Amino acid sequence: MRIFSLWPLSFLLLLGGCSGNWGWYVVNPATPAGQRNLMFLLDGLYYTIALSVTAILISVFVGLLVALPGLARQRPPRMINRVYVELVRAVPILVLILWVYYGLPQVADISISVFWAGVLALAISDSAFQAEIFRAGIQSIDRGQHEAAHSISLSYADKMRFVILPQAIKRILPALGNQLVYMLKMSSLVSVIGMEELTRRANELVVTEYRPLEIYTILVIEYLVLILIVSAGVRWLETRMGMTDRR
Amino acid sequence: MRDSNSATTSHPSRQRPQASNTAGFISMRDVGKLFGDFRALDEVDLDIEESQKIVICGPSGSGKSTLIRCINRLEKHDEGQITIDGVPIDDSAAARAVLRNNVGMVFQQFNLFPHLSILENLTLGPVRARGMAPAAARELAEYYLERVRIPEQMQKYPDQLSGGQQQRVAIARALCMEPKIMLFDEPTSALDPEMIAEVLDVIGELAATGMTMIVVTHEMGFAGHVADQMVFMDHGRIVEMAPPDKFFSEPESDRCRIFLQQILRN
Repeated sequence: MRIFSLWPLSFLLLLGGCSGNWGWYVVNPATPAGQRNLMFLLDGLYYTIALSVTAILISVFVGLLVALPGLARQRPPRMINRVYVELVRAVPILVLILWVYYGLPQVADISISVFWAGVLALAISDSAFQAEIFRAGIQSIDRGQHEAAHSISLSYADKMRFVILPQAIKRILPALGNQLVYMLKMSSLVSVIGMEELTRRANELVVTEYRPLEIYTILVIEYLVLILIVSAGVRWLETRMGMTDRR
Repeated sequence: MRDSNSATTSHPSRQRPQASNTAGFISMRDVGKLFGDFRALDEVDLDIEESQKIVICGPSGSGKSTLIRCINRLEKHDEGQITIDGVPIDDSAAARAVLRNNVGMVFQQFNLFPHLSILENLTLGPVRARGMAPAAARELAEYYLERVRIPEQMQKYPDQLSGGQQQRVAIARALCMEPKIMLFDEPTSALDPEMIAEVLDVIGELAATGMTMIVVTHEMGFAGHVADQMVFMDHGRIVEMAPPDKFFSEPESDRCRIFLQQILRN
């Protein structure tokens, strides 16, 4: 117990760089070289965010499309949903990234950029989870809401758009926030195919500067700050959306 | 569906031409409904003329709710035929159009849309399902809100209203579709006692306008005032059907008499 309570302190001491093992000069913003290195690392933020946000938008859309047949009364559409979810969930994200980047161009005879290969792999992989989240969210809405929509003759699309989804999305917002955080972290895997995002940048700098400890520590902090900001944003959105029916 | 229809037509006394001659505005012929092994409706025959008021009562599980839910296709009947204005109620576009233009429904649990304001609850159907302009829909909503005596609450949300107010909003929401037929599924059963009267008053006023109504309720005082015909159901069958004075004073079946004794004692 005591040892654990010392952790924050020892962490600070390490960061302080008093020990001879640390060489913070590589990212010291006071020196031109350190500043250049730091900017090089931070530059990766653009692609980390671009990858994650593009992928999550696509995966939410695909997830919803896959969730809807999962809610049908008939068996065939439900089977389509099951097969998609089970198949996609069974493939590791890293494997999917490699397959989409190196395999898909050969199979489909197309050329695909690193960015879109990354987006596609992340989006497909996440869409299976989005589908399950949406299905659970929509199923949690009271039957009476569907019946009331039917009683005023709304079409299926209008019922979903104006009655069911607005209520369902409010309920699944925490889960959607989780997925965004997860996506930000998983985007680091796209570094393996050469995407110049945060992790790739750190790897490249390590190769030239031979300072993995400091550089990867900066990388950890970059992800930490990014995700804390996203979490706060999601929480803000939750309270804001919660207000409309909790007065 | 198809199988049961052909089974019906093979029955000699139930030929279609006959049905179209004598069928009411709403007509149910040999209607049956199964939930798994449970028979919720069993050979239900019922004809309702325009502007007629029918009150259905019976013990719980007797099929009252299922009957009216089959009329607007919240449940699909397994046997027999239901027609409204001569159009068979099935999955066809014609049936959907007839339901959209003719049938409104009020639920026991109100089922207002909690994320929409009162006004949005009322205008959603007219704008999206009837293609009405938003301004016209708003006027319509204001008119019906006044009719159900919910003035100046349009911008509020359902959970800011009392149960009685919510149910009256739900009635207004159904009326905004300007139906000829209103179905009420135990409209006062989820209400606190002091709010029952305000809702029944509104339904009673609506009855006076010539609306065709089918009401499932246990409010026998109200039923006696409003109904043209009382219907008693048990085990998915219509056991007894009579005008209220005869229904209450000299019920023919034992089951109906016992039911009325039990319900009127309270």
